Formats: sequence, structure tokens, C-alpha cells
Amino acid sequence: MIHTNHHSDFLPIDADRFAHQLWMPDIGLDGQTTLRDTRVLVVGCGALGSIAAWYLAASGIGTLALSDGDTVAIHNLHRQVLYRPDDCGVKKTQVLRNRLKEFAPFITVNEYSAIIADNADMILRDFDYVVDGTDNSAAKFLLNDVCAKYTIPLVYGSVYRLEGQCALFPMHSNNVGHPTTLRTLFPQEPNADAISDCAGSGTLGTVTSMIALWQAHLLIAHRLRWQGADVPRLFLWDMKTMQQTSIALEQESVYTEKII
Amino acid sequence: MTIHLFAVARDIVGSSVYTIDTKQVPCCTVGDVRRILCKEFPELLTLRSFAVAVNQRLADDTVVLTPHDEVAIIPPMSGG
Repeated sequence: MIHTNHHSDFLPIDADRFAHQLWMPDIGLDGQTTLRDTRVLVVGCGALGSIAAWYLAASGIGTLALSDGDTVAIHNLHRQVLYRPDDCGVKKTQVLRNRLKEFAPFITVNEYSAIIADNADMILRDFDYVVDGTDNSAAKFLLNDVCAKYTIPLVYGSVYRLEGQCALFPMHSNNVGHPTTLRTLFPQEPNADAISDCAGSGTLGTVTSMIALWQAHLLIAHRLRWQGADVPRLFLWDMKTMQQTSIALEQESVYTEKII
Repeated sequence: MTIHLFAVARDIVGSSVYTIDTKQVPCCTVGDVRRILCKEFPELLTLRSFAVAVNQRLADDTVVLTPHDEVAIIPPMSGG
């Protein structure tokens, strides 16, 4: 065990468990301590949120909060692979919390009911990051707007059949004086009828899990201040044709280009 | 000019690429591309908004296009 002085209420870092991260110059003891002292709210504990939460816990994130109002259903299991058939009917946050505590007893895991407009401000303000694991546009835009209001980095993710997209929005003001957010991409919240969720359009577990892993990775990279992680980019995957695209999002880049 | 389409935009257009014949249809800016596509495929309007990237960079409607630019239509997604 390695004792650090950052937060006395956190457990010391298990040097054996995290040996392969501690050895890396890009993480090391300072980085591992930073991860331990990080508080992450995962909103939606389905195909994106449950997988992202698992890998964040595995990396050593010290505090995870889980928000979801749903219970496990049998048709979830093809992509929400941390749940089991005998979990059906039990709240996802309860199952995931128990499983995370077994897997990583040293972390703090809290449960919240669904995030709605009435409670979002109060809950989100307590966290360093919010991971978007929701499956509807209204929730995604609510998280986006509250994170922008309080400058909380948001890790956005979404899927459509065999395609997925994700981005980390740091929410700090850019050179044109406002943060790059989900509304920079999509100024207006789309009609719910126009784009389907997973239940409506279908998807595959490898697609959702890959987006979730990228969400977890983007958060770690940003928290550890790896080069370029603070510059918002939209990552797109078409996992039918195996193509990946990365889109630069900062408006000032476009602005500069126009001036030239 | 070749337009690349993602996700539900591809479903609406029915193809992953759409070609605008710039000799027949004047098309100078990102805003022109939006107008041409929405006129040809009105169902795109039901999305309320979609992003346009030019050469892997988000572009607003005033960005001027050249025939060799790579233009992509990125619609919102909501699954998770």
C-alpha cells in the first residue's frame, strides 16, 4: 500500500493491484492519486454507463455515482454484459453498485435515481465529470446544459445501430468566449420520433461497449492531462465498414480558417 | 461534390454518399449543402439540426467549399 497526502478520507493506493499503471510514466503515482481523488457521475447504467463505470473503477477512479431509474431486463443482456439473468427486475444501480464493490472494494459507489430537470443542478455540481450513458435526446441535452452551466466536463456518447459517436466536452470557454458543447454540434434538441434509441433501432454489444470504453478512456486522458485531451473532438465509428473518423470541434479553428 | 452521410442521415438519403452536380446546382457554402439536401430529402428537417464537417472539421454555414473538400453530414444519435 502507498499512502499519499492528497485526501485523507481515501484509502491508500494498492501498489500491487495498480502496478502496471504505476510503472507507466504517463500515469505513475501522481496520476494514480489523481484518479483516486476523482469523482465521476455516471448517468444511465445501461450499455454505455455500466461498461464505462466498470473500466473507470478498474483504472482506480475513487468515487463513482450511478444514476438510473430502470431495472434489469432480459433484452438488456446482449449488450449490458455485467448484468445476469437472475438480476432481471432489480434496479440497475443496485446491481452495478454491488458488483463494483466486489470488484473494487476500495472505491466509493453511490446510487441516485434518474436525473431529471428538477434535481440535475443539485446533483451534478458535486462531481468532477459526468458520463452520459443515457438513451434519449432529452436527457443528453439536459446533462449538456447543466454541465455547461457549471463547467463540469461531460463525456458524451451515443449509438445508432452499428454506428457510434463520443466526445469529451471540457466545457471551458474557448477563444470565441463560449464552451464547445453538444449544442455546438446540434443547436436544437432533435425530435424524439426522428432518431431512435437502442430499443427502437437496435444495436450490438460490441458497438456500445466500444463507445463506452472510449468514454472511459477520454475521461482518464483528460483527467491526467494527456496531450490533446483538452481539445474537444467528435469521434465517429461505423462498425459495419470499420471506419473511424475524428472531427475537430473548436469553432475558432473554423473561424481562423475563414479569415485566411 | 461528394457528400458523406452518417447514421440516420444515411438512412434518410438511402446511401452513404450523395453527389451534388455543381455544374447544375450552384453550391458554394456549407449552408448551400444544407439547403440542397433538405429540399431533396425533407425528412432531414425532422432531425431539427445536424452537423456538417468539412475536411474533418466542424463547419458553420458560411464556410466556402471547393470541389475537393470532404463534406460529411453528422446527425444526432440518442441510443445508449
